[in-house]
Amino acid sequence: MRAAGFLRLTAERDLRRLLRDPWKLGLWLCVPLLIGVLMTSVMGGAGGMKPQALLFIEDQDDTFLSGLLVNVFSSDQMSELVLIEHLDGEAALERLNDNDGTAFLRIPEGFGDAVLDETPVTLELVTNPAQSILPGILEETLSILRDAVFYIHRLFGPQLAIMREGPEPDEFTLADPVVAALSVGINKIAQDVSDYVDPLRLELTTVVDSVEDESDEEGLELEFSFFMFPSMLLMAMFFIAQGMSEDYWQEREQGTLRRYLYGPRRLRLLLGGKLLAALVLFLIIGVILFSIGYAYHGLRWSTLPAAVLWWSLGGLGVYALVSLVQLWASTRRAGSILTNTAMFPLLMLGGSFFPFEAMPDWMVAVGRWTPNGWILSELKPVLMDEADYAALAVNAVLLVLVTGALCWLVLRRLRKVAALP
Amino acid sequence: MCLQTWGGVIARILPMSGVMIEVADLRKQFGDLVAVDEVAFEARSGEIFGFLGPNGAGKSTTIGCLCGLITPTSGRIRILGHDVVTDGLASREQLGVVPQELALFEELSATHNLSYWGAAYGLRGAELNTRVLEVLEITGLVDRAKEPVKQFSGGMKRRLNLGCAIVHKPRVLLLDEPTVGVDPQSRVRLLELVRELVADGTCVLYTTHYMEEAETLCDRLAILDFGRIIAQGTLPELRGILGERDILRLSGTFAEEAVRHALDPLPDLEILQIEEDGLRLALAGASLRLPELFQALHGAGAEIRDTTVSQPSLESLFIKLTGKELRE
Repeated sequence: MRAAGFLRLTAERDLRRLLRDPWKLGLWLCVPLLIGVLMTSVMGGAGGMKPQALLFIEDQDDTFLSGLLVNVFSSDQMSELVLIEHLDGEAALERLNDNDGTAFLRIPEGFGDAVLDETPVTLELVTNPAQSILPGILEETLSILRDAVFYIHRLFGPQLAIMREGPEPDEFTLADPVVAALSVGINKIAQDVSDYVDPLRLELTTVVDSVEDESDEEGLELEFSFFMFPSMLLMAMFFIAQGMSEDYWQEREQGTLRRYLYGPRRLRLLLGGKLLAALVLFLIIGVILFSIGYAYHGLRWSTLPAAVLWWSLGGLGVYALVSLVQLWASTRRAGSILTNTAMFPLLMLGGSFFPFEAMPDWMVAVGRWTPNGWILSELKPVLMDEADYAALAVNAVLLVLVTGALCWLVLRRLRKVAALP
Repeated sequence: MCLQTWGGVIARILPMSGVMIEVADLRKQFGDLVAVDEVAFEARSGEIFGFLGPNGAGKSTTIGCLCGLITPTSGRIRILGHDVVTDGLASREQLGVVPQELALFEELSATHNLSYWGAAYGLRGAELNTRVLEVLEITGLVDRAKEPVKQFSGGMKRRLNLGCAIVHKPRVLLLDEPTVGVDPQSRVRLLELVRELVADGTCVLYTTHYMEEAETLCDRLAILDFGRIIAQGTLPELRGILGERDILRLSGTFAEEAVRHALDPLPDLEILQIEEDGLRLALAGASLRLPELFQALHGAGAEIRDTTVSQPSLESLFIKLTGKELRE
């Protein structure tokens, strides 16, 4: 039988043995899935309930400006985060005592005049001590508004003074020349500061959020679960690679590795067969997992083949790496401990346990240098249809070369391990 | 003529002469430890060549050298004329090995196991399928062919272990203590299988430390101790080393010095082994000489509780040659 035929036969044999133990395969897939789902639930992604503050407001002033303040909290963006309920102070405090609310804001009478006069006024914000993050967000929002009032006075002070004075005692409205002067003044100031507050310029300076914004334009729903999706796949890849690498020890314990040495086939054919089995398994599982993920997140199906192929090649590399660690050990138990010791820090650092998006910058910088971090970094642009495929092809060649070098080391070690009595 | 051509010529000539395994001046040294030294023997087609020796005698090292797992320090091994060092692949193609421990894929069926190992030796297609069926018949596993091996009994696994080694019809079969831990019924079946293979012309090298097995199965034997062959030949030839003498085994209480002193004057008698609670002697016409012996031993203060007279056996020979029992 030619070498290629024997490679296929060896791969078939390994896959058949694996299928005889479906629980093992299920475990490799379920553990990452479970971790992923838990992580996503904890972080509030995957369409779950987003945290929302419940703010009670008592508007004693009931003027245009106090209404403006209330409207800030009920604007489109803030309404996702803050739910407003108008209540008098006593009822609001009672609800807070029952832990049924985030904070109570009292806008005192005379608030509008005080803002226009730039005289001190106290906004009373009572927060729920049982909550920590949401009250902080409300405090920060009010603090920003306070600063905004200060800057509005610096910019539009004369105009505000005219508005505060109001019309002449015998006039119902401001005189036309006064209104014209106000408009000219406000327009001039607006033009002067437009260079600084131009919306486009502002968008350019908030690059960090641009990925999410652009993706929104593409119609992708980017939630925590999306960032967790490739991480889960990397976790599954590691679990599969580790599980398959244990087969060297199982074959050694069963004596089949040694029997192989009695025969005329070279050991590299056995290794080739095992690699082929691993690749086929990664491809099959990759197609299934990626298809589920693509359907769930509404990703572009045209990128699926590249994603599956890259993930499978990465899996093969990780399999070779973990096999080397396994064979470096002197016993099966030592092999298991060694691979776990190497695997879990890599998973943690390499964005496979926590996505890079949820990690501190320094850790991301380190994590991208791990094998799984690198594979993940190249996988994400493919998922988002932003990959440079020429660069990806170069990386794939690099990955194959690294895997080849690892396999050479595995083969050397395998010769020694197989011949051990 | 180059070395490889000579090898090819030898590979053609040796099987014609019936020599399947040729070992000359084999030596294997691990550091300071000499595991095998000056081992030399030949085994022929249709012959069971027994390798007998206690644990650590060098049997497994010799087998390891024969199947190419261990590289000899010096000496020469040829399987059907192919040197196992310089022409390893060709020699291994002719070889079937039944290791002492089971070597099976427990998750797979007997059919899959046999198919895989058959394919490893180059069988394919209809030839492979036919041969797998034949081996299932030979090993009596046809009814259980589709079941995972892990559901098999120990004896069935042993038979399959042998089946995997013969699926490619090797001309030379190495069996390394294949009956260790096997129940008596399965042992009988295994030994029958080996005899059938030999009847078809296979050359079998059989290592064991079971004396009875070696006596009933092997055509020729080599006895190993401390890495050296201390005796070699057919069973009658080996028995001849002891002469035409019976083996007398006495149990009781014996004082070594006194017994030696008392038996020394008796003609044609050899003390094979003497211990506090047992004495083993080789002598002609043992049953006729019992009164004479008892009198001498009584004079030496020995107390005799039981007496057994038997024909010379391998065990007796082993004790004579090494001064110890094989189980030691």
